[in-house]
Amino acid sequence: MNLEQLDNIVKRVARRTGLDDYELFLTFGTSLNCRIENWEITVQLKKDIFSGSLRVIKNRRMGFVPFTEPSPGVLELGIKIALNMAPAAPFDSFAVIPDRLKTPPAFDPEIVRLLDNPSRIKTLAQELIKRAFDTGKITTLEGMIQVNREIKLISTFNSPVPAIAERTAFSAFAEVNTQDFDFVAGRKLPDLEKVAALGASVARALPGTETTPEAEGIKGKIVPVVLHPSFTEEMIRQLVAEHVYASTVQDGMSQYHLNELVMSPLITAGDDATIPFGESTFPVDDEGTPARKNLVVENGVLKMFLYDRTTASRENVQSTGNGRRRPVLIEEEHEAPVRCTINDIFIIPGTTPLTEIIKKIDYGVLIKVLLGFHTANRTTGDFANTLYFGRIIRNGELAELPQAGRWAIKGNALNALRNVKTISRETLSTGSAILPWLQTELTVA
Amino acid sequence: MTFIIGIYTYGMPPQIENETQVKNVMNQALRYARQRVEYADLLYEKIVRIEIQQLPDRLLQKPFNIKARVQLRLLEQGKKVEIKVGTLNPDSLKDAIDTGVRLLKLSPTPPQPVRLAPIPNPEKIRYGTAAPRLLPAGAIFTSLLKDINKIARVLERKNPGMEIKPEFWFFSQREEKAIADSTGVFKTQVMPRTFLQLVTRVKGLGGKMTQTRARLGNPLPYSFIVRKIKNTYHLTPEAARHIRSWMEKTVELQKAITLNAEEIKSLTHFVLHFTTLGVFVHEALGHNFEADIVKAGSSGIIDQEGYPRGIVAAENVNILDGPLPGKPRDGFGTEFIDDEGVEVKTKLLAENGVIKGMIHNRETAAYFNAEPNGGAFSELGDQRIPRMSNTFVQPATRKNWFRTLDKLISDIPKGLILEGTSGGAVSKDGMSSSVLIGYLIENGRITRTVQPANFSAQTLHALRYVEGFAGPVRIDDVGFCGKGQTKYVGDGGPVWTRIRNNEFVNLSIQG
Repeated sequence: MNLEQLDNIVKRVARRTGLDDYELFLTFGTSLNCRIENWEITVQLKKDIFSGSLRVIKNRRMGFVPFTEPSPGVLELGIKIALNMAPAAPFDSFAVIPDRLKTPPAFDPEIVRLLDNPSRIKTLAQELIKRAFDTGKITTLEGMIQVNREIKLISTFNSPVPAIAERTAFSAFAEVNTQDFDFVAGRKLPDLEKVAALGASVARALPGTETTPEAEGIKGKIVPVVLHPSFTEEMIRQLVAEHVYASTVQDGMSQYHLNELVMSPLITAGDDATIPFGESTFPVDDEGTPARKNLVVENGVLKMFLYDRTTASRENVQSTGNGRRRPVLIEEEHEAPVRCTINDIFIIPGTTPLTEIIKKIDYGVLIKVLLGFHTANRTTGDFANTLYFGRIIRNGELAELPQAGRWAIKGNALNALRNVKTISRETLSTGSAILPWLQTELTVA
Repeated sequence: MTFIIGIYTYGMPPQIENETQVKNVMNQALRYARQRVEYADLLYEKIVRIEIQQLPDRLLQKPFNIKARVQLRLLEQGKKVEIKVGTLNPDSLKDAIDTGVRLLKLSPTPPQPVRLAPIPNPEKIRYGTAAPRLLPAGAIFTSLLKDINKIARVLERKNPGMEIKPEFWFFSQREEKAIADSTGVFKTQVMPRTFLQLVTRVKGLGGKMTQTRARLGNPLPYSFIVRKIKNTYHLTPEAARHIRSWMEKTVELQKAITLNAEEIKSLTHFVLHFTTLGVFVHEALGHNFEADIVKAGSSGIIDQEGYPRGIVAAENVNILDGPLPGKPRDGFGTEFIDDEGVEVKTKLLAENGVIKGMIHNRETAAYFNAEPNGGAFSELGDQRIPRMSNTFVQPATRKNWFRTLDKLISDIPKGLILEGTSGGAVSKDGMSSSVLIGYLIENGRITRTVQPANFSAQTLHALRYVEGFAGPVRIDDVGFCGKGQTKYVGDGGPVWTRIRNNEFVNLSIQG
């Protein structure tokens, strides 16, 4: 499908329907997924999936039209109905996308070659399974290898050219005995040797023993915890980012204030949509604002809030490139409202090796996944959730597994970042964040 | 804007739009596939939806949202390939079949050949109920905005110093699907579905913030939430009551207390409202009855061969999934046929605490030599996997099943009532579900409001300590279950369920 041709069709429809302006969001892609369930591999393909979304302005009112069929007739009808009951537009016109934008790399032809040759993916999945079971430590193995190729286009009525880029993605994970997992994710083909070894390396590192908080006499006590980068990303996206969005500030619900110490002075962090091969990497955000890097927190002090065009227009400032289609709950991306959304997250690493951080903890917990973290309180940052994947830290070493269903961790995400005591030298790329391990304190509930 | 109600006569389910055209395109593709593989089937799903989202700082109205996708499945020599296709278009389908045949050739042969149980009642074509084709979106949106914000303003006047900020999301949709296979089966279903979610945030004196989430959802047209009274649309009294009640609870949470580990340990009982019990049962047990999870060895209650690992609940507990017997239109997850064309049954999963069944798609039914029971669902063109529809607890006997909450808690020395949820999650041996508000019981009486909490349990032991119930069985707790893809679900049980505190459940309270 030629998305630029479709952009021209939308332009014609816009002229015919007398629109003052429009903003078009299109994606078209194919993905191949090899699902691993013990020794079984199931191939699933999503082929030529098209999604589109149109925001239109006419007479200072803004309508919203999501669609999955690129038909001029459907679009025209959609525009007509949307404008019939459109609320007041927050601004007079959409962004004009500059025609000479820098396009950071997000496309790896190696991934396309892999997508075009599914037998290589199958062989990789078979190798992952074989190596995992060869360890002799597997009861159950679940995993997935997925490759993806997508074209994305953002355009507005008055832009000389649309922002368009082809992007690739590769992800794989292996979960062993429902006790631990490992993964790789990114827009560049990773070292396939690492992918093949995912299950085996998790299996080999699994301790043979489990423990309960009752046996440890630790219930209700505050303990040192080390946050795995996957968990830190989830905590920031779900709970902390809300407080740096200009929308929350304008609503009077943010607990953060500019130029105040909001995190540990050790933390310097921000978001970036220009990282080569990053998840968010694209020339513009979903509103046509050029992609950029934002330093949000410097030495623990809040330096800026994140704006989309709507919140920016209220304060007569510029968008920070954070207008993204972020679902409220279950909407597909093209149906989701454009609103303040954090791009790829980074925290500047510290100087202490992770092993040193762990070595200095007599008794603590490494947190990788808290079960049901999506249910945490976004308004306050409070959470109390079952520890799903993690490790007990004992006498400076990673020790037992937490017994399933017996451990819960509670705390407040904003306070957890305020109380960070050490930041690891190492970082991990989760695909959508580059983060170190953080040492802080939380309560075993 | 005018609207037309789909033509519907009792006993005659409505047709999908362009049924003949849809059938022809599907059959043409299946004929092409049949020349290349042993078996093929197609699922076509389409949703026409109106939607409004009032977010903290902006309003989004989507009076026109159509989406449709197709799922193609090919089987050859015990191998299976599943392909999601963007559009129901002959060329796209033909291209997908060609790709699928190539993928089949290089797919590894599974340890056990994939087989599909036959579709029962293959002759019956149409299922479903009347669903409006066009909706008065403008009038519905206006009434929701006006009435919900009015309730908030009235409560603010009653509670000086409190800022009440409601956020809501409403949709009402017409769902259509068609299932066809290379043996000549062709089945369709038309359903309406309507949903309202309210998130209330309250900023109290001193800036303290509290939050709750409430939902209403049913496989019904919009009129169970918004109805035309004289010439204007308004929230129905039931919807308005529900919204007001949860806004009041959010205000109440401003004065809620927390309990420390010692105080929680001293509790003798938990009493779960059906809105808390439902998600607890869904997460703690429901997923473990899904036959694909059993087959993978990831069920905490049934082993990989399909044998129970133990008793899953007290003797007075039955666990079911599906429509509520006698009330086939209740439950947000209700459908008449699943996405493989199998009629949806109410499945008895556990009787007197003993495991009796699983939730199957055609593939797992054949694998476990069971009858398919209508449990295969897909999110708009994704692969069809075993999913819950409405999962609920049904008391096995009348013993200790009271009419009122007062009776149920009268002999509890120190307990905690748990109400509402913002969702949960499950692992093989454990689960976690959130609770929105608690009430302390002291000497049989409710004394204090308690902060939101998290309730977790070891799967196999989760419901073994159930002692009694109060009120009728309700399954109108509304959820969106994620298992790689999203499915509308309902859940519930008796209005109140009493559980003795035990070493296998954990409660942690915020604050």
